[in-house]
Amino acid sequence: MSRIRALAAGLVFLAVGPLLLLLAESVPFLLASNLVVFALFALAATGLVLIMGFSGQVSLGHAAFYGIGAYSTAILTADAGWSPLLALLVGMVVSGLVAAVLGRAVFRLSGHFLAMATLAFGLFYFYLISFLDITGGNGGRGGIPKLALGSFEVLTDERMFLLVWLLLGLGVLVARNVVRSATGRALRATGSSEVAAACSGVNIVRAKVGVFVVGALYASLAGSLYAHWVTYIAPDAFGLLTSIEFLVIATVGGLGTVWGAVVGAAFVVGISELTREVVPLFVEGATGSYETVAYGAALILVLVVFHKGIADAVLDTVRRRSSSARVVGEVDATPDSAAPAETGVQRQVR
Amino acid sequence: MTLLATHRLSKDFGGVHAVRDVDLVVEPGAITAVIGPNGAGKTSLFNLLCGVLPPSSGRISFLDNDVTGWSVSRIAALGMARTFQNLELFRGLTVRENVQVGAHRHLHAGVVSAALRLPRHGRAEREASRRADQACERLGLSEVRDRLATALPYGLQRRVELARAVAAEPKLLLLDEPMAGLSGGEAATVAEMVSGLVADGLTVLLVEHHMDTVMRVSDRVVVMNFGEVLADGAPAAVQADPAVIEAYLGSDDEGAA
Repeated sequence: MSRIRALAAGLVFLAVGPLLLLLAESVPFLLASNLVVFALFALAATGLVLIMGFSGQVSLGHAAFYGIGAYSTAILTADAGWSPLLALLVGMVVSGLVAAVLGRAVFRLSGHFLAMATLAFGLFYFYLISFLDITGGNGGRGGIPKLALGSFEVLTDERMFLLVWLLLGLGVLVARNVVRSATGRALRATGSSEVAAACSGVNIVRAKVGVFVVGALYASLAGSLYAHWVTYIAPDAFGLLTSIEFLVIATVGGLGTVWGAVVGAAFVVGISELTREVVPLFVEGATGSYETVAYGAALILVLVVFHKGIADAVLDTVRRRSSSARVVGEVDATPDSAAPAETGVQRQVR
Repeated sequence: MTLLATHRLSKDFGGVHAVRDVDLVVEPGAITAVIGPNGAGKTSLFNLLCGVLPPSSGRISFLDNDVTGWSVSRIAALGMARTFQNLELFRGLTVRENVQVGAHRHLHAGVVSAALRLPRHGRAEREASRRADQACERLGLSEVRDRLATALPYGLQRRVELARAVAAEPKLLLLDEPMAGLSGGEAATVAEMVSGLVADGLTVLLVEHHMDTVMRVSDRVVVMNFGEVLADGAPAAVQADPAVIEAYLGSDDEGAA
């Protein structure tokens, strides 16, 4: 049953990609390049949804892994002449190792301390790439080749979007697999009772580090793809603001589902393009600040209305509908004395 | 072979000696009960044994390993499981998932095999389901397996705690007041289930206030008071021990003074 549903979701997902490209052609302010940004951000933030949603950790340094991926492929392809595919994989290995070392160190901390530690890591990385010669310092570095799979070159934004969209689909699938596993279960358990999880034999630090590493791989992959798309990268794209943007995407979309980042990124990129287009119509001579204000107001509104994120709210509604029908049927079938008191129970089952 | 042994195990909280020089030996295949007035140090002793609290001094040996200072999960992985006096069920997880987490020590598949759905992951999941379903059946939870654990009536929640610990197939099971808050009938059912598990070879260390249940099901009773072991022996012998009677009822001398 769950396999059929997953297959159906996969097919719908594959169909949505080309549809979005068609949409971009007909909507004046939406460009294929906006779609690429959306898909890249969704991919990176899906890793953050895993880290934050399913292990209850806050990371304010996610953009650093995005940067490690970007600079790894930039240096390896432009300077050392490696193939992008190999460079991208090496970038992921480096990110994974850094995440493992960082995770081991910081997952003994919790709450504000953890947020501070990841923030410090993000800032450290930002200053590092701003100073080093090999990364091109503040000015950044160019000469990064476009992606090519054999003779098929990813030159246009449309092709790039379809490629990232496909990888995003695989990314969501992998995230789902992680959540629905012993590790995912153990992490959800840990979020509820750390002591009971440990007494069940769950090595909490190891489970958290494992998910942190997986989350970092998403950001690294997205960063590498980004570097090959824009062919020129500079530190500004990997600073604190980007980390916060990932955080907003994950939170607005919803931390309770693996689709959270996809929905969140669509919303964030969509609203930011929409405000850029719409605000000048109402405010004479509006500049960047007006858009930012409107964009911020929209985000606040969403978080007030859907405090668990948009994707979560949508899935909740769907589930409530399908399971309330089932509960009614069950109560009829079992005239058990305890049943009426528990009718509300099944609605919460995920 | 001795399953568990403590040597002069002590725990101080500031100036309070919660547990003091306790030498406890648990032999396999029996129910050993730890009783004593409130604040006697029973729950602290449990927390020391499973590694939740680090001891102030003394040593703990479990299955021929010196486990003093080991992490909680490492001790659990070796084969110690426990339940909690105040329920510690996992919110948002179904009964089955709760119990599957209990079987965690038998699952050998990491994040990578799960992410890529390698055969290793499939085997681990089948193993988790098999163990969980078995434990649910033992404790009469098969019917409510797919319900959220925390939404069940209190009596069933107690049983989910027990099932989660049983799913670990532990070498030693620590039960911290498994009948607290249960009605007479429910308590009798749980006592019967625990006896059944012991008959199948499980070793149980039990903290319980239901005195008649303790005396009926236990093979051995350890009485604690002010963090120290006051008496240790067969239920009947302990019940007749003057020191125990004094601790529970107070002595005439004390009353006169």
